[in-house]
Amino acid sequence: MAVRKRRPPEKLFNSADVQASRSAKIIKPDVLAKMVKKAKNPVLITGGRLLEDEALVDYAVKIQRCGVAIIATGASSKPLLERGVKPDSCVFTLHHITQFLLDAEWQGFKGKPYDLALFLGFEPYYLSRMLSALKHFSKLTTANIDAFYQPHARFSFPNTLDLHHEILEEFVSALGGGSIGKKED
Amino acid sequence: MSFELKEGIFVLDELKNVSIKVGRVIEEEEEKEKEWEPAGPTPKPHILDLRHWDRRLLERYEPIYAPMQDFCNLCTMGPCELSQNKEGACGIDLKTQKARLVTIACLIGASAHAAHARHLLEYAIEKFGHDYPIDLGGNVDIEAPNIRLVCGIKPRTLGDLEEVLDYVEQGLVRVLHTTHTGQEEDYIDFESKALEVGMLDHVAMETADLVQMVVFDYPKGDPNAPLIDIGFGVLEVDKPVILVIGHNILPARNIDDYLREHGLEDEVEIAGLCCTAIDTTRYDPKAKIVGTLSYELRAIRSGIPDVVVTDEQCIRADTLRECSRLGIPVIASSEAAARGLPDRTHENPDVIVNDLVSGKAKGVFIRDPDKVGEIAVRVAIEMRRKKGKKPAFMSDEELKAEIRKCTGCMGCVFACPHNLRIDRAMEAAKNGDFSVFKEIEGSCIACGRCEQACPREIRIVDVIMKASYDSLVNKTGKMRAGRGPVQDTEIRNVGQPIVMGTIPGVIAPIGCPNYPKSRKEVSEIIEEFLKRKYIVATTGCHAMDLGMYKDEEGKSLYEKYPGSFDAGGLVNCGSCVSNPHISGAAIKIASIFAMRPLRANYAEIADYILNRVGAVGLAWGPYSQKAASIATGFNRLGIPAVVGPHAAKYRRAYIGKIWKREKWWVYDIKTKKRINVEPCPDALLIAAETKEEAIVQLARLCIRPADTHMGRQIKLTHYIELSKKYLGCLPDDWHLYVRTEADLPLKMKEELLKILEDEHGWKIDWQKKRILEGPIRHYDSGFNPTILEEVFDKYAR
Repeated sequence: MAVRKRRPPEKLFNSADVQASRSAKIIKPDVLAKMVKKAKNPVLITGGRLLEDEALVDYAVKIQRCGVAIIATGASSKPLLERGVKPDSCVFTLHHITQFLLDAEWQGFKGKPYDLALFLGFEPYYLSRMLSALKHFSKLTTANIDAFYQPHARFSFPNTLDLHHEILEEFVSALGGGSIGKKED
Repeated sequence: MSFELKEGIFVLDELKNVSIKVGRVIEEEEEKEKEWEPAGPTPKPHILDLRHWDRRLLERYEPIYAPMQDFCNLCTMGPCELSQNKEGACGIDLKTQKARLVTIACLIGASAHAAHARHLLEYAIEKFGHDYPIDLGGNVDIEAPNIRLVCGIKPRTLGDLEEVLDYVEQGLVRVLHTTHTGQEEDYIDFESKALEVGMLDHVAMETADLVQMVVFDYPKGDPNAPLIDIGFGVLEVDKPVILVIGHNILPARNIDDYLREHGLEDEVEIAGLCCTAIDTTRYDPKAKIVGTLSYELRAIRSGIPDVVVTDEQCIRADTLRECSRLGIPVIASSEAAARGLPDRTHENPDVIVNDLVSGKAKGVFIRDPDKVGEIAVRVAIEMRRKKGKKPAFMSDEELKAEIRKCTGCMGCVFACPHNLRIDRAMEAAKNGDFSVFKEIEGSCIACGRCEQACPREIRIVDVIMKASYDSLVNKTGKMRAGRGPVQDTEIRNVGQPIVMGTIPGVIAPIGCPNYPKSRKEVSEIIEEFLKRKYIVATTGCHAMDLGMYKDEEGKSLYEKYPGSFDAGGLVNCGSCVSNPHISGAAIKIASIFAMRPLRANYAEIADYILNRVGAVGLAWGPYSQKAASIATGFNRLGIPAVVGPHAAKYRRAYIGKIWKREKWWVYDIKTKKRINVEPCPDALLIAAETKEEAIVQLARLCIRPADTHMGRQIKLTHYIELSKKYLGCLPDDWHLYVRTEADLPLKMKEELLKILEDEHGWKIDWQKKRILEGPIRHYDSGFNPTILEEVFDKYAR
């Protein structure tokens, strides 16, 4: 049945997930798209929600086609591979990936460190903890493009919930035709 | 003149005017017993004695911290902001503070088990005496592998266990002391302390389970332990129902005794929640299980119980408030949860029963478990008589009225631990569609946070329950009663295939019900491994949930798979405190199969297990501090665990960096060289997000450096098949585990050789179909790995 779409409240996904340090800056999709285009080696990290929401798979595919590498976690590789997208890695969990990203020596899966990580399709509470680790112990720029605002990312979409697909559409449109990942050092 | 004789055998001849003070009397037999095996290097290890092992582990499995808060407010110099790893007023940085908090969490968990063990032991000694023998029958000679390994003690009587618990309690206090402000400044040292606590926890749990197994005559390693009824639907609700909640058998056991002694066992239902339920059915297979902790609020709100008895540990802190709303009397029985109730232990039972039944008292606190038996039964019978027919849970009109109150503010969604879309369910239900609520019910843990957030005070938990009420209250299943230990004879049969890898692994689903999705997922994960002939050994809430779901033929996993510790067997060891039977099985493999000395020889045995025993824990719904401590204890013993995504909130995991080749090395005792090895297992504690991911990680973490080529071939076959099935592709790292062409899955050999050549640059002799160059190391059938210098020195030099 059709469910009425409306603007969700501006609340933390969990009101007790509070930290003393900075909260994520809310970012508009077109601004984030510009940031991705400027990044030297951006990466999209996908999670298990892609197994439940085909539209998220569509958006991940579109983002990848704009030149952003994908690291698939939570078994999200399966629907991506079915759409012809080969992620840089499939077997490592978000926990592994976070541990790797925390290490300044890590050269990514293709020999080049990532400078901007986008996160899509995660259980909010799990992603929150990993973003917290990255916030406190790394210099990586993180951006949450999931349906719930993530306070511990550097940048985050606001709570979008039922409007999530629309905001992803805007983001993907703004990304289209860019030259992501081509910029020289 | 006076002598003080402390310990030993003494001969005193022709002494006059001598006063002799006698300490503990050591009998000759006992003196001989001390020599049951030469003592190893670490009897009752002190807080620092295994630090070298911990540091070796943590060099490879680096802690990763995911702060929940970035401040500390434990002392009055604070609160201190520690973000970006800043230091607080005491000098502690964020990483070390997180390690400190994890240590404290483990201390809470281990203390719960140690206190539980102490309660049981004190009761058992009072009733049965110090000299009551510890005898688990002819098939279990190593009765206490953790106690032997850690303490160097072979307990023969209940009295011997006092010394064990004294050691555990002292150890916990020593570690607790280190968490005071202004002390430890190295997070690895805090982790070492957390690992110490985890190890002590397994000793405490083993003590608790030994006591109850021997004095209450539970099954002792019986693979055919009886099948137990489980689920709301097994309750005969027209009878008086006593609901026992918690983890300590004592009050429930006395209720059961009272029923039997008074011929009331067919008149009154005794039903349990959480581990008390499991242990009650180990005592009396006729007792019934409602379910796990996530059923507690549902069970109370159903109005089915006539009296609720609480003991200790995982019990809601609003039990009295919830019960009082429905007029259900509560009997609290543990010092851990007196619930603000008056202590009426020494009052006349007639008065207490009258006060509870009349409603004069909402609840009572009774410290004597024997007395709880009588009072609970009498109250249940009289309450049933007084209440008459049980009222319906919630009428359709009430349901509609509750739903109408919803304004769609979404406060509930943001309060829900799973962010379940209760708003959508409410909107659909307003139009008569309850399907969304039915979907939600499968994932709802009935914590009630949604109700706390609702500005319209909607009974959201009740609404969710009502939408699925019939299926919820009619749910039935079968669980095999907790059998306790793995038999030594079983270890003799499977030790070699496990170490060789031809039994591909031991999967241990343990822990709580805070699952990320449906409660059914744990069964789905586990059946994948049972079908593939892994051994599955379970405890606690997972053991219950494995019995809760049936296949199309109406059979639960316990009815489909044998209860033996063998390939394709599903072993229910019992409750939370039965976890040491799983760690104990790994220890016994090292001791019985490999003949490694067991007594007080922790580091060597843990090193053996890490390198050879493909056992992995699965805590798919961990929530408690006990689960943190249990997992940490497994980790110190070299057993990794895959945990559900909620476990990221424990703040710390141990994850190796597979790409740092220099981290993955061992000493080979055979060649007397230090060599690089494949990165297996690559983590000691890791959260997976989905059941699909968890399945692949479990198969992956079963791989061990010492696998034979036959074993590695079997393990790789499962790993690759599961990865293809759930991830849609070959796993990224499969090639790292290939040492020889004989390691490759037979059916895929040529295809994989081609990939090794094309994508990884390996040299292949295609005529002989052999690998010439490429692997991290070549296979050697005599390979004998260790990561400890002392073990290398002992066996290689």
